[in-house]
Amino acid sequence: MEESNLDKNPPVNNSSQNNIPQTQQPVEGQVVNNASSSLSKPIWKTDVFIVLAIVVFWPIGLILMWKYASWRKLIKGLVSFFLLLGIIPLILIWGLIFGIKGYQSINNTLNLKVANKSIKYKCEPIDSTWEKCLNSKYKISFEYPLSWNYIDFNNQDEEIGFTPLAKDIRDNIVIYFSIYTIWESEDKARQFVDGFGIGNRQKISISGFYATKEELYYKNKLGKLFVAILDGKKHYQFDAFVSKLKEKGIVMNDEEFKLIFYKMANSFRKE
Amino acid sequence: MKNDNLQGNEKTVVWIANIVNPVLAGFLFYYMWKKTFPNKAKQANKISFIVFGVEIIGYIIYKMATKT
Repeated sequence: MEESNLDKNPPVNNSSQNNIPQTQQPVEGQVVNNASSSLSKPIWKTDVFIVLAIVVFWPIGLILMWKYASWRKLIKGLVSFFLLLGIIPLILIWGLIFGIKGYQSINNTLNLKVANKSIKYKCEPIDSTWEKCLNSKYKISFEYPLSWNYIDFNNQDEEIGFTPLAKDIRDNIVIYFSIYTIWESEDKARQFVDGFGIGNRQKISISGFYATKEELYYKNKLGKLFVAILDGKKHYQFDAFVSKLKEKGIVMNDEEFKLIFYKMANSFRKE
Repeated sequence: MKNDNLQGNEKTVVWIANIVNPVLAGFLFYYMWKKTFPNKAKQANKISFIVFGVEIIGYIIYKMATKT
């Protein structure tokens, strides 16, 4: 049927989809999906354009497909089903992103996780460049750069995070301090902070307390630093994520960052 | 005469659609034309495989080049 249609009304230009010869009429029920008969309809009604629309921007493609494509309903249904199936993970991801942010903002309101305000730490400047934070529960203190900002996570680990950035502080924490855990025994605590003999833990002393430190490298770049301090069974820990500096756009070289981190760790005191 | 070859604008559109999404475009073009225009279907299918292969190779080269 198609051939006879094409014989009766030879197209002016086989390759063009935009010309509409006046004499050519598609036969009812005919699957009109060839280049020459596509000359009889506008470009957005041609199967090739519908496929392009589906691929480039599927909502428009789906509308055009159901409206103008003369494909089997099964095919249309399958294409629609699989494209719409793709929405589900998008909705989940969107919900997760905005949901998490929404949860965090509610959490902040309820738990006072506001920048530079702490329930568990009393922080006061000691000089023009450093501020001292005192934890009243464990009676310990340490110092951090006055120009930095902090968030008290207000959790049972007494976790507090520090960042040199002034914006989106919660998302840009690069140094954490926490009460890592209270071990069953001093031996177990020491085994853990020693890394069970694995890795490059260096044994040091901070304010007379047994401590270890380690610098972790990922793909030959400094990734993480930590200092673990033991007070009997109590294990305190400073963690620094060097890899986050670049990620968060913090302009500071590794050596400068290390100096700050180790000064913070070395300032640890039992009050 | 039945035009069973990709040419002109139609060919361009098939290439563009395959560059954007070779799997989906290749599937749609092939099954759309399989019975009525088998040559076109084969050509569109070939284009989708070529594009897919080039994109895979390009990705591998990119990953190797950016590996530090």
